[in-house]
Amino acid sequence: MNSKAYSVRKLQEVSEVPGIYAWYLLYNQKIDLQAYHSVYKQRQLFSFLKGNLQDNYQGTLSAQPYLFDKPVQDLNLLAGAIDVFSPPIYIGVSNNLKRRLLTHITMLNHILYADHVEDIVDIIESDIDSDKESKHFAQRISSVIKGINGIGLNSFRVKVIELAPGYSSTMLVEVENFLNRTFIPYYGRR
Amino acid sequence: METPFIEPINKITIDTYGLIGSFEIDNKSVKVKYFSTKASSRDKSSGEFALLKELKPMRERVPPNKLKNLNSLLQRDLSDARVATELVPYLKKPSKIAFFPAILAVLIPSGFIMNEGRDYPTPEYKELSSKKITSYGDCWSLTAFQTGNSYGPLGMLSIDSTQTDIIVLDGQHRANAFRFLCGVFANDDADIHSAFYQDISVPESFNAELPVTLVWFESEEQAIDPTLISRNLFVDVNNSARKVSNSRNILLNDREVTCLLTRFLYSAIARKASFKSEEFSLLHSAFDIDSELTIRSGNIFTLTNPELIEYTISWFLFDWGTYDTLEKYRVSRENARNSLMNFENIFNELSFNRTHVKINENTTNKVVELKNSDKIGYFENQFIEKLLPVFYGIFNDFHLFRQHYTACRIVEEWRKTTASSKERTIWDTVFRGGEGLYYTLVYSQNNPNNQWLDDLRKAVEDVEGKLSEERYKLFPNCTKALVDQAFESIRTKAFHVGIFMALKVFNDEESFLDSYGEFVQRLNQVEPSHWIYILTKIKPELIPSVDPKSWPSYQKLILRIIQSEGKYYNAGNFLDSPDGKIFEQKVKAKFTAWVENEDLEIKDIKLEHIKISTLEAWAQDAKAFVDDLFKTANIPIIEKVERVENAKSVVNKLLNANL
Repeated sequence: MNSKAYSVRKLQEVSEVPGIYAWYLLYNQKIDLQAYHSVYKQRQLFSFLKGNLQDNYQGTLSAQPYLFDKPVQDLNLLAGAIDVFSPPIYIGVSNNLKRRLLTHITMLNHILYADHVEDIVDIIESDIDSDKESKHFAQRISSVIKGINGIGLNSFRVKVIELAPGYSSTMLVEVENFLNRTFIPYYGRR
Repeated sequence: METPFIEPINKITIDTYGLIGSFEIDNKSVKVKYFSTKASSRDKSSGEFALLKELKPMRERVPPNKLKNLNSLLQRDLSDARVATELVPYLKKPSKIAFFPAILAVLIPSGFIMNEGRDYPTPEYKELSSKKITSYGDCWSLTAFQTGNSYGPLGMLSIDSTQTDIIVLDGQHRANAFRFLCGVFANDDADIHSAFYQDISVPESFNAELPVTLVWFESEEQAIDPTLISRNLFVDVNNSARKVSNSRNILLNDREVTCLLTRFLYSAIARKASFKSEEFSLLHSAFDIDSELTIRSGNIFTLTNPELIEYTISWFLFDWGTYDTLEKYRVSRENARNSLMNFENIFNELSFNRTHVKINENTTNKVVELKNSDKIGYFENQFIEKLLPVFYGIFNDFHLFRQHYTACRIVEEWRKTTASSKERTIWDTVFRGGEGLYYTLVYSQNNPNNQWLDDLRKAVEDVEGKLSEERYKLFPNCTKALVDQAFESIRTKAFHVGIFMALKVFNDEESFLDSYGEFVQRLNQVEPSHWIYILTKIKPELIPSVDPKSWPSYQKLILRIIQSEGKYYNAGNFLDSPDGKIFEQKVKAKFTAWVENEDLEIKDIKLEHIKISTLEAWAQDAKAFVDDLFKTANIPIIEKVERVENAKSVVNKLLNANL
């Protein structure tokens, strides 16, 4: 087991082996703080409540974002802290890390810079480690960061755990399932 | 007191009658207003004759040495050869019928072409009895006559030719063929262009009337940039006409980001250096090249051209880095280059950044385009600040290129002193004229009876020969043929992309602005004469072809040459190095000869069948050959190489490939 971190510029150096990966979003001083904060917030939640006598209530709750009224003075420290402490925005597994991550970034490139917006594709467990899954992630994150100046492809970083060739796909998916349900990355598969 | 008499300014108004029209489409914010009329020489006092005189080529409007900005480029250069040998004969030949479709010309306030900060006029309306007059500043006005209960479509267009330029967008060759036959074509006997028309007579009378459509623009939503809109029209309209060269299409394209960056570079060169000989300038960059690279890449004075620059930018800024790893020497498949990774890092100001561009999925190559042309100015400003020094620095400061510029300066001095008058004319109008005249003169059909053209072609050869002669003298111990060959190899896509992609790897994660200076210094640590040797002796061993897909080989060769302390290539990855690739070929050749000599089938051979002394000899010879190549260029060899082990790897690879 071998863990490493890569910037998007170095993805060509990722090994073509099975493994687990997680995407992170870095911060730089060109990004508006409020906008960066909003990336980590769910825009809306769908709620379904049961009341007395089996009355049901359902609806969509929209986010009420926290407004930062005081600026952060030490943005260098903030950037460094985000680099170290930020949670992953996506966790996935693959039988070929290099191919999967390169697919992720090329799809992100296309979708982030496309003129038109497609509906987000839904995925199921059997879509794990597929181009459809890559597209799902790219669409979800792009829809949030598209208009935010300062956040682009270079804002992403990936951490990987490289495993021995031939590692069981089934066992990989089991780990992925636990990680996603426990840590609930914001842009993980729905 | 008497009012002093003030001589009125001589206003020359062209009045023509015709049909008024408007090309308005709901989802377009700019309306194209047009006026269909005619030009002719029937009545020399008429507006039609005055209009005919105004349909002149760009060279009669803007002297090339006044060209400060390629934003004014609106049409391709006039090919006198085509006018004289195709279009004039078409009209003159005895046949039942001949006709030219309408010329398309745009009205632009004078001063726009030279970027003199003029505003585009907005319409002002006045209704009088039986007519409605729309005035566009002092430039032109349209009078619509009343027909029934409305105004138009018949009207009169009045153009103040001292305030307005009439620029032909489509049909400039037809227009000038017509002008020639009407006797209004500028045809000074001393003018070099006259050579093309020497054998053609002007008829005593030519009464045809040339249809002309004049256009201008109105918009309620945005300020009008007529050169921008006209360029769009020109590129779109000309898709069905004789093919405009790739280079010219690139310079006229206002949508694709790689094309815009190319034009920004050329505009900067025009502003900074014009046609100077002693530094990188328009003289060396073939902005007027009229054909595709596959046909010709420029004259001997040129080191680059727009097609090469645009191709280089597409790799340098929009590639994923797939071929930047040290073991890759050839592009296996050319995919669409539209990664915004590098672009984002460079163009990141609030005024212009990644949110202002998009990938157009509807184009074949899924190109990166500007979303809104309003951002062109901000885009150009950032290019000037962040990328221009890099491009200009490499072209201007690499001392291999500087030797070429020195030779150009010597030729310019010679032209001032000992050159013949023909050679002086050739220097000024062909190499510094900026109209593509070089290509027209050298590559047009040779009329054996036109001595003047032949003399001019010979003078072109003499001037080019002079440069070749002066240039090779600046490279001690190099022959003229080798120097010429080296500079031919520079003028290829493979070299251009290779050198800039070498900078990309050298740069690593830094800003290009911070690293290009040191990159050029490293290039300059190699003597110019040694660069000639590298490009003519080492390069062919590594790169046998000029295929653009071989640019990674140039990239790796340059990295190998400029590296210090084995940063990229050393004994640990010898076979991945350029030295190793040449070593591999030599070992392969030895192995192949040995197999033939032993009369064996490769599939039956095992490594153990080859004596160790044989392998040692192959390894020694191959390494000695490679080391000799690099030592001759004064480049440190790769030391401590396990020659025999590397030779065994090469042979094993061959044996495995044949299993």
